[in-house]
Amino acid sequence: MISDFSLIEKTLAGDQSAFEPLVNRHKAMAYNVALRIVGIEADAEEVAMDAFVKAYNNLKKFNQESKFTTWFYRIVTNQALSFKRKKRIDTVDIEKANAQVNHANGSLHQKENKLLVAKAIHSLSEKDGTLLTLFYLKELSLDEISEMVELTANNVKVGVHRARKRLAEAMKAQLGSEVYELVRD
Amino acid sequence: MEKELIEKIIDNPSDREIEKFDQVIRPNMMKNVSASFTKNVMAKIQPATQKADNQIWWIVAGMIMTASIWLFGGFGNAAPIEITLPKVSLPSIEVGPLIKGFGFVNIMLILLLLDRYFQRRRKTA
Repeated sequence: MISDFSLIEKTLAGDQSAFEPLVNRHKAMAYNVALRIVGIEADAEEVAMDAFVKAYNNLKKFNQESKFTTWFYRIVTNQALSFKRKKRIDTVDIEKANAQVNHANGSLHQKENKLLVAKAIHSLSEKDGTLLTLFYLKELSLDEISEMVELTANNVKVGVHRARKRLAEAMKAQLGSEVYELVRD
Repeated sequence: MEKELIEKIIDNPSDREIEKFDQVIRPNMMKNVSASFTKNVMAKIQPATQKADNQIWWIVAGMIMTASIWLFGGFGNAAPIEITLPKVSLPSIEVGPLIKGFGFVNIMLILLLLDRYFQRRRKTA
């Protein structure tokens, strides 16, 4: 597999098509991180796209001493935060999470799980949500995550552990409220 | 999802339980981008480079305009124009400096366009 650095060098040398594999490689991270911040799927996709365009236009400024993911993660988060500020989206409410999940394809069981996770993740803090998002992205190692969020690998490990616990607590609360709603109805 | 597993994660999970929990969460948490995502990004990038290339045509147009102005009077000895208005007489106006001034502005415009063009080329390179 061609490294990120080689692709960047090719792009800088004028081969625009070399940027395409970079987009394919990092689009999942960009989209899911943006989604954790802006909360709406369509907006997250727009933010991720703009982040790639911004990265392309500023590729010359990329200091090759750090990893591309680290540099690009900052572009995505900054883009998402300024988008959120512009749109004045303070929080993503449960109805929005429900609407997103209801559009998801799959079996009833899958939908229930998706709904449960979506509701729980939206109740977490932005920091916890982003940390879990980066952790559950298969392609990122703990070292990479630690470089991206500017924490030590050990702190990331502890942070993920705590965030996982909080996620489970939120899921438990969700399950509890669903049972309560069933009894009430 | 099993409530017992969630409760175990909250209390004191073993590595196996954490792994099981992660396996359930990962596919439910990660969302996929649309199929046309990469294509759309590349399409957004394309115009920026094309824009830089198109600027050369503006420079050519500017040069043609300047050349035509200079050809049709800029270099010749401009004859003074006498303008006489009813009841008000104005002094004669020298057109030569005006045309030369206009030519100078055009040259500055071309230099500006060239500067922008090379800046954009540097950015996109």
